[in-house]
Amino acid sequence: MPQRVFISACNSKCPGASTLDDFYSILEKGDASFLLPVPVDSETLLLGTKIKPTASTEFSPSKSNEKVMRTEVIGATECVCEMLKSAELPESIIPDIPLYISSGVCFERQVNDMDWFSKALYASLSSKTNEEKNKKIYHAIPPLLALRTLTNSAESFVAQHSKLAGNNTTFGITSQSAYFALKEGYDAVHLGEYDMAVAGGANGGGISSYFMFKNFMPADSVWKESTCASFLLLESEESVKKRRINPLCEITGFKFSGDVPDLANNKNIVPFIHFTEYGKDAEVCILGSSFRESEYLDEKKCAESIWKEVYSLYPLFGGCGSAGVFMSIAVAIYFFKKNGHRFIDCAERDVFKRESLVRLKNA
Amino acid sequence: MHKKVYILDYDLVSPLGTGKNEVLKNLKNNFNSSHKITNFNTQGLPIDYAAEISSPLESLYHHEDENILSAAGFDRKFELTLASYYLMEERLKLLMEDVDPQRAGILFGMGADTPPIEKMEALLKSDITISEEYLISFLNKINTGKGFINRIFNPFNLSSLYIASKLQLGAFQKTILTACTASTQAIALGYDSIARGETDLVITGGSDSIINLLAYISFYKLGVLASNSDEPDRACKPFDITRNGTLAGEASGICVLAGEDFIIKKKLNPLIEVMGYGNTLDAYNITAPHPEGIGMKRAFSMALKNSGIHPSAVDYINLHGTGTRSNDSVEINAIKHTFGEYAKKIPMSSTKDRHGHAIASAGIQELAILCLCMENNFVPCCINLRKPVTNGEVDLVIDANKTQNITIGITCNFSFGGVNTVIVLKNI
Repeated sequence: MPQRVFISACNSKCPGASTLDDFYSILEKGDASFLLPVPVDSETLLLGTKIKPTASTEFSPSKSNEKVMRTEVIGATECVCEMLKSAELPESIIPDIPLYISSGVCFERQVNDMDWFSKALYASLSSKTNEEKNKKIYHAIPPLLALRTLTNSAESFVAQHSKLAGNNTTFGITSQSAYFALKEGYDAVHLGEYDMAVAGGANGGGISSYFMFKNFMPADSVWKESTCASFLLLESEESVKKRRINPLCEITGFKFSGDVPDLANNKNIVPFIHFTEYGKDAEVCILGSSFRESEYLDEKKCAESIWKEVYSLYPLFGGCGSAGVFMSIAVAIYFFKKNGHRFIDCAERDVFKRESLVRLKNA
Repeated sequence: MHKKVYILDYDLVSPLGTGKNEVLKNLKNNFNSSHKITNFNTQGLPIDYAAEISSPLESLYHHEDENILSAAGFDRKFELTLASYYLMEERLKLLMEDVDPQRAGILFGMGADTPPIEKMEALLKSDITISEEYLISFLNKINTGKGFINRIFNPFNLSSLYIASKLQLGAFQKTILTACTASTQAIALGYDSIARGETDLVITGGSDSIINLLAYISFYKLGVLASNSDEPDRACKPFDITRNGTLAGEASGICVLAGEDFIIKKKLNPLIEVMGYGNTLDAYNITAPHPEGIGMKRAFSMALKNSGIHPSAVDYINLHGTGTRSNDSVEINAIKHTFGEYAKKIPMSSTKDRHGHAIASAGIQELAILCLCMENNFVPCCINLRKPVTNGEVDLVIDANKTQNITIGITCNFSFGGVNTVIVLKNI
């Protein structure tokens, strides 16, 4: 018997916000002064900033691990642990709750991490023999590089500290991966396979992300992206009633554009053309995922022709990548509380121009 | 009501061969693919061997456009994806005829990215001093491309999107990033999608290679690669008491899953049925498996339960068996716990001593090998196992391959970080 699916808990961490209340305070003030420019090259600025983990050492099994764990991994871990604590779940049920994560992980993320790579590359150029070169490169590579670049580290670190041990996966790496992670959690609960699921995203903004996606984007002068993490506890109607809790909102619909990108041609596709009917039932749409100003303005303009009110995370945070949908949903929950909207849509468009939409209903 | 899910076709690009016929032949001949690395110069490194795919792959995809060829030249994983796609292209296109693109998707497992430093070197001038600023500027300069394809630093999504664009797979294009279980999970989640009625057909699989200078060194420094340069073909010894590490590998493969309604409608003959899977997390320590294998035990139990299979019905298990100190003993304990007295009667082996550890594509490689074994009544032995870690509590196949009917087969993978995925297959 299909179940209605509610969001019963939420937590987010992003630049300037270690708690959900901090995040909502930023939304109130519209203050983006914490976004510090980091030079990438002479023509481009990167606005990726670090989240501020509240107590990172608490979650590190050892000092050596603390050094290699990426910021968004620690952020995701804190996010989930705090969220499960706030949901007051019995410890005995936590191991069976599935965990679906979207991760923006890839090779080195932060500017400082390019240091060893510079040394390795320099070694390869400054050596006279292959033997000398390989020895220098060997010494330049950090001992725990494999752990540092582990693609499932957010999932595994979250599991280690939250004790979530059920069905799981990590999707990567664009904002659509957040949609896929949410849909996987929704299906698991909706189809009655589980009473609850944790779904969320961890995005590491930085140099690698910039290199991977810059060629796909309009050539504006600024690349804007945030390192952030955001998670949701999804729960069936039956479980919500049984636990006698007031859910934050209900998930009532999903839509994936179904477009298959033509990899050879980065064609100009009108944003959100698949969602033109959605503005009839929902007044508000929250947009995520843009990395550049012109892209944001283009998406906003098209969205405003569909929905009455359109908001975007871009002015404050830039692209939130693989945490995008989850950040947008956190904003929607804030709007539900503050403005009492009945329906809110969260729409995403990833770097490959694949689009998705999640419809939420005020609980 | 869950629908039945079948494997319609599969194939593999592996150190054991390009294409399943060659892989089967080499499995039967006990061919060991471990040899001195040829992809890059290894002088000065502590070890120098791996399970490389030796046969040239470019002939499979040489007609692709310049942009694709450029990306494949830098990214071995993408090159492997191209090879495995073109190996099956005609068969895949035939299966995709008249399929609604919105009822077909792709799930592809991919491994961590490490820049091909050995290939970038030639692009740099030899008289410069590398600072961070220069490096960034340099990477910016060489990271060019057209459309959605870069020369280097392509998103992990490139492989799944490439295949999706070739076959018009519109329901979803997902990339799974759970390391050694990535392609195993791709198959498991593909099963879910069809069983739930979301799709009719899902392309699953994965690509990975850790045979490049930076990845090779980083895995060695992590302490997981076997050290025995004198006898490369004896280096990786899963389940042997003298084992000291795994063998670096690479592979790419595709497995086509379809639902029973689709198969009946198109009058197709499936090869194997996917009965179910188990998928758990250790939730213990990101750097080590749970010492008692709690997550592995749960994954095996869950797989059997979801498949409706009693342990006594299992005919063969293709084990993860990496050859590392930590994995193999925990895995054997999980097997003993799950299968109890039947563990003595179920033939089982790891084939990583022959083809190495392909990390994110280990799952598709070993599932394809299991399918080959099931279709050909064949059980491969552990070719490097001399002193087993068990005293007969588990039927590890040693000395020689066996001829045996396999109705129910199991494949399992366990990733760094504590992800455990087990899949149960049934011969038709």
